[in-house]
Amino acid sequence: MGTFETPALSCPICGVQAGTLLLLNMHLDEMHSDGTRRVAQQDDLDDVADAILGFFRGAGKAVRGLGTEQVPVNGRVGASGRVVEDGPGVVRSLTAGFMSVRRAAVSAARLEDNRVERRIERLALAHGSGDAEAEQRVVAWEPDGARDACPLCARRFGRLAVRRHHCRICGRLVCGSCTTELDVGARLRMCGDCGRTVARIRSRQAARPPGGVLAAHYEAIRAGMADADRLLPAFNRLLGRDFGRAAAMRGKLTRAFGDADRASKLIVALPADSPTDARLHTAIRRAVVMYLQTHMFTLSMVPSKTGSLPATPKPASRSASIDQPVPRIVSNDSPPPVSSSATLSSVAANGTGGGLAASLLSFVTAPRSTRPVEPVSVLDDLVERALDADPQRLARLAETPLEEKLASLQVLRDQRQRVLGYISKAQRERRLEDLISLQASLNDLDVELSIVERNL
Amino acid sequence: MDAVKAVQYYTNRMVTDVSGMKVLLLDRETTPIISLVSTQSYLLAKETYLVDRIENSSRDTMRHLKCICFVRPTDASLQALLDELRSPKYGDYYIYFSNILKKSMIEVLAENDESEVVREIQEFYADFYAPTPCLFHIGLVPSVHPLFAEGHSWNPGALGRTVQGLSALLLSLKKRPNIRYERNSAMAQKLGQELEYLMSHEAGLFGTKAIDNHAQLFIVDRKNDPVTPLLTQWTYHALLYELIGINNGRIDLSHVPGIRPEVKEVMLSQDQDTFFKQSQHLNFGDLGASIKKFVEMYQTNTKSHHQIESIADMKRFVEAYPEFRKLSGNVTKHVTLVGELSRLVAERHLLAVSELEQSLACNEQHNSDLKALRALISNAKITAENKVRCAILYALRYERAQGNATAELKQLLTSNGVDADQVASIDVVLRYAGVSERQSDLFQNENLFSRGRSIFKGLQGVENVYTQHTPALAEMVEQIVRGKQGLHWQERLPNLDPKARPPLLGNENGIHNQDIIVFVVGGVTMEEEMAVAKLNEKFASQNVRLLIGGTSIHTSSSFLAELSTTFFP
Repeated sequence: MGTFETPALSCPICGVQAGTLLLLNMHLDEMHSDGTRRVAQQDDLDDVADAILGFFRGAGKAVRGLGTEQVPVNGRVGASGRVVEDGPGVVRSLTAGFMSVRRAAVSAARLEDNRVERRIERLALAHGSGDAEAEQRVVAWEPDGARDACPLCARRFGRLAVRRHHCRICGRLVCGSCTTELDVGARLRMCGDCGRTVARIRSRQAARPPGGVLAAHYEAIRAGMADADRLLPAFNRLLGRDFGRAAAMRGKLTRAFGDADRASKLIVALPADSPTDARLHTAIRRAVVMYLQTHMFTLSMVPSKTGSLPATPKPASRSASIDQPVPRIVSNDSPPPVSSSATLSSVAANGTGGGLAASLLSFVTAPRSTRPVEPVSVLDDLVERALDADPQRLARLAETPLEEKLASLQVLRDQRQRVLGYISKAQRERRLEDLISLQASLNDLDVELSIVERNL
Repeated sequence: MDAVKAVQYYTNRMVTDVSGMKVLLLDRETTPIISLVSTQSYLLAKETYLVDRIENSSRDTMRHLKCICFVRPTDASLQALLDELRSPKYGDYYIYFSNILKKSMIEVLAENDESEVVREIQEFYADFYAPTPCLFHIGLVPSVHPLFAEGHSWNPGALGRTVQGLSALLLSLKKRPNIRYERNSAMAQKLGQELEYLMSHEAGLFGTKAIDNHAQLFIVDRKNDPVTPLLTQWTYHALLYELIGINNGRIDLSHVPGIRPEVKEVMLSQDQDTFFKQSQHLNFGDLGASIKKFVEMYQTNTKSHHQIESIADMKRFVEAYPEFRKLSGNVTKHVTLVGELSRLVAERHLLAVSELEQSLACNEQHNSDLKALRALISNAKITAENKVRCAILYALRYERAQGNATAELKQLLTSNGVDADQVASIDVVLRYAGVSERQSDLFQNENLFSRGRSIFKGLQGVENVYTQHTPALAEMVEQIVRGKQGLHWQERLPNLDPKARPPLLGNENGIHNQDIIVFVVGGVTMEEEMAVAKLNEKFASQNVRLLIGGTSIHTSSSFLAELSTTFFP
């Protein structure tokens, strides 16, 4: 640091001799800042006191941004961290040691930030006066002969190739390629070290963006899931015991699921700032779809589960009493959710989902109206043929208890619903071979459905 | 003593301790470690919506996300982390290191966290690969960490990485074991010494009350059993490794003729896939029956009446039912995998090859083996790799036998168009693990007594000619635990610390109530994994639990490739 000890430095305002450029600029900061400062406030005076104290505490060591040495570190990490001993594997937390070092580093950095902030403020005012000397009354410059190489990149100053520049914030001589310009109304050339300090100040001032719309929707998802998680165990207990209360709870559950479903759809619909943002939205939707598929499953189990229970009201009226009026899927645009990853991702990728909660619920009710009416004669024909092939079929059906018939009806309807979804997907993707075999399975299912329905 | 659960515990802590919208940042080495034990849907369920690499500098800024950062404390990752802290892209940082961080590094990180974004810094010791519950490995790849320096000595980089990986495993299981090593292996001893030094040095981690110090670590050397990695394996998991290749749980099927796009790359996970969990140790024949049952189960569900008699029928069935294909991606996956395996087995005539291999590995029949081997080498339908593997097995077994014909076989290989480099691998393996390098009587043909035992074993008859072989390692462990050889084995596998108390392990009745970790310097095989899984079931009543690991998982080709650079004549 020999170059810093050039004795020729004196204050351009009061002529006081200062040992080093660093000390001189400190002196300018503390003694001659009033002229350019609007109002000296108590806070600022405290800062000044802090700054002076901080400087003398670190006496003999350069403060960050001025020298090349590192900030003095007081808190050393203990010989060994704390060993946390819960859970199966060993875990060691280094947080305490980290925080104590960071506190020291950050408070030194804060001091420096305050100082630089004030200098920039005064420089901006001085610059306005159009006087280069006014600038140097804020920050003194290193004499041109003080060093022969750039302190940042160590390249030697030459006449043309590597020119000398003064950093307006710390006054040091640096080469052109190690400087950037800071625009604060006036354009100030500054060195890389001061540039980092400025960047740090800016990033601190740019407060954490409020989560905004995304955060609000996300909270709604979490609230919906929390409600559902709370209600589900109770609902499962009530099933088959207390039907009225289960039905009441079912409404609440449906609402909770619906809230999460709706909020996640709103998130997918949000405009994305970047591809990553879009990925985030899609991923949140996927997580919700997954959650609904796992947890609404119990809901859709209701009829078949209760159907096998004795002493329950007549099935037809029961299903009407427990089902909330939910929107049915009328169009088959979106494939029905099944536990296949292919479908899952396509739901998420489309971003529509097509009323997932609603479609899952509609599995329970399996609305007949969604079934396009087959030309009766063809279907009858097929049914006749199927019965001809297996003459004992009707006799066996007649012996089957009503509950069992209803259960198998339910299964058939579910399957039919799925196949319909696949058909529309195959149509969209022009997979004609798949379509043929899908259509065949659909016909088989319709025949089965007719046979069972006619013999209820 | 479950390697998978050990890593899952750490993963779970990372993503559950912090709630809210999260991004998971991993580095080059932690990515495969985590992806072996967790799935994307698991991460999604834990509010971890994005996963990215810390090396990726073009990540977008998302200050509303919390960042879970799990990296190895390597120079590259620490530099990337410093850059990240200087211009943070996310709101809060929870940093987890997969191994011990240098003290000075904590300070450097703290000084660079000027925006005060770091909330936690912890060490979570998930620094090893856990493909199955009883198997772990360090993941040494010859291109990054060559194992050998010259001959039987450690390359320093590989040694360092192995000590780190092994110590992380021990911490994840809370063990500070007594170390035993194979007496004839300088590499095993060196590894033991380095590990012991680290454990005594890190008293804050290994010296606490919570650490169990009754476990045993046996460090063994691959050179004492070069046979196991050379044999064709017939269990599902091992076949996949050997014939198709598994890379950290992923199987690349893109080269398979006529493959459907949705199964070009498939994942295997014991957690999610019950069929795989149940079938991974089935041999190829039982596997066929098992997958047939699996398909039939779905067939009944879909009320189809196709006759299913062969793998081809199964494939046809699966393809005929697109809806079924979606409902049961799992069935499709396994039918595809088994179909591809059976195609490769037929194409490469592996049944014939395997029969000879097993005979060479298990039975002393010089004349008939030589005759069969000559015929095999002259058979144009057999691949060069398989010819060479059989020739190596011959050279190993009959190295000291009268009328050894290795030289003649080499000529025969050359005249049948096998590359000189491939032929040379016979000498490579002899230099690495010839009889003068080995400690135990691997083939039981070195003295009259063991020869008699070998013949007696041959007379007992075998259930299946393709699976006669038991890895030497498994036999050794079984004899130790059952006390069959008394306490003589302890001379071959001495304590690293001569003053260890008690000096002997177990008594004449064998060993009870003991956790044993076996680590193979030079790579472990899937056959050994299966053997250890079976021993675990067998010894449950003795309360002996086993875990096996190695510097890597070897197939025959990776084994020969690793040796070829160092032991080339």
